[in-house]
Amino acid sequence: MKPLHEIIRKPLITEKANMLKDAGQIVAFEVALSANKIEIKQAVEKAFDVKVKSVNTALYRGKVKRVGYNLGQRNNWKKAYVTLAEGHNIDFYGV
Amino acid sequence: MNVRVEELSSIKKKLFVEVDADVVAAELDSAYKKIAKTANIKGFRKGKVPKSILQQQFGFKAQYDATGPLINNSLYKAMIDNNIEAVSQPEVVNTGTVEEGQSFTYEAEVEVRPEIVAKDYTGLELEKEKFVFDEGSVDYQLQHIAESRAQLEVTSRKLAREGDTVIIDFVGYVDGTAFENGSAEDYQLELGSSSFIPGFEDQVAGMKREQEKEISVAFPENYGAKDLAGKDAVFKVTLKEIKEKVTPKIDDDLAKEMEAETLEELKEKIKENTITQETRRVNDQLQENMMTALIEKNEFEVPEGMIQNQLHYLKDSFSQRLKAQGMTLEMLGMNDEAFANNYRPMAEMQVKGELLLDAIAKQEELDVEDSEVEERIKSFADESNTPLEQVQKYFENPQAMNGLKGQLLSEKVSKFIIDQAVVTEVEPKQPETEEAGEEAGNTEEKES
Repeated sequence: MKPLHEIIRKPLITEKANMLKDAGQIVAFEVALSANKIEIKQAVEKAFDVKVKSVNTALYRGKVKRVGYNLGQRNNWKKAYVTLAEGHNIDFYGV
Repeated sequence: MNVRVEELSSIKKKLFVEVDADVVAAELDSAYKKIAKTANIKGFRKGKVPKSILQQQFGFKAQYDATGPLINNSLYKAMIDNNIEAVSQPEVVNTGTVEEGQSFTYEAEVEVRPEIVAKDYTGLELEKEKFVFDEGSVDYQLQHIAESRAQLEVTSRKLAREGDTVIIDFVGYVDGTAFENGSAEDYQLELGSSSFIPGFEDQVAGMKREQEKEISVAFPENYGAKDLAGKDAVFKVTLKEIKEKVTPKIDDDLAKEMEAETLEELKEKIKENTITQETRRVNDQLQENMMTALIEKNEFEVPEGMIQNQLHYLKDSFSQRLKAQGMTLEMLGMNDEAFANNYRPMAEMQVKGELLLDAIAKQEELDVEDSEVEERIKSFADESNTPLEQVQKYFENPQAMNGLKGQLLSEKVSKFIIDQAVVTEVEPKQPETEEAGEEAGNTEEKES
């Protein structure tokens, strides 16, 4: 298995993620493009010491950006919505 | 809200305030709401940041923001509830933490007006200057009036001398060339007034009419214009006219100019004025002696805040007076600190006096009647030649009215104390003559 930080890039704390977290035990991450659901599940369980119920992923295409004459593209990336098992929680701030 | 009051001294009280938990929560909430409006956090639109995130990021700021209003809202109420009248800004000395679901406690110190009981204010031994009218002062003032009305007249003398005012044309040269602002025509110069460069006026003295003369003088080293300072200059001067001051004779004509029928009447007027002025001065002196004596007999502490307020007031009125003369405190080389140092004792005395007079008024149950107020307003109108209605209108302002009443009351109390005091009349102090006497004594000793 790849090192954990190569699978889980960073937690996503956004309005939507926050809403989902409040509604039902779902946390969002930005993950490696190559990571599959099984890898994500294992990585989250190991990194945060929780039990994962399911993982949903979504692919995002990088936006095409132009600087003057030059066209460029931002990196594509993958988002993972991880549903935690009943009674488990992740506190990203670690307070 | 829970308040406990502790007396630190006669002029200082300490308040222990506990603000209820729900008030704290509400205040924190509104603090968060305020922060939410402007908080800019990645992943959230402005104003949509949830409270849980805000608590993580802005917890300290919210606590800090909430502390101010919590204290402001409760302290004022706490003071009213406990009948505490602060004379200065209360000082918050110790604050607890602001946390949701918990009450907030703090301690504050306030300065209060001391409750004083004046004592020994009857039978004060006071000195009053004996008032003697000096006939000579009338003549002196007449002389003064005459001199101030002196007019310049063309004299028949041929030569100008010191004290004369001359009309001259002049052109000034430095190193052979005329310099800027160095010439004038029909310039009126009083000889001996030292308004020109030193040496210039001396050399004009002794000139004849229509005479032309070259005057050489040196500009002083500290002369205003830098490029001229310290240089030798030559002035070509033409004397046009010589005038001298003519002081009018002291007679009925002069009296008429001063709005009196005859010289006798003018003298009488001057005498009257002098007497009122002098009596007022003597009475003011007596009043001051009384206050000093009273303060000496009654020792008590004065809140710093009251002294500062009085100092502030003194400074304001002082700089206002200076302003009328086109000056500022800074021009006198005075800053706030120096002023405070100089006038602090005076401010303290005034505050003490005010407190004592108030206390005595209360103890003796003295009060100002409405009729007295009316009378004073009438006399104001008479003195200043303004219609009565106008003065009355001014005193419809409650602040002005309170000021007037306060003044009347303190006058009344002062009178009360002076009436009860043992007043001894003393010879007026005349520093000049005393000195002269001493000198005379010294020489006598030497001779013997």
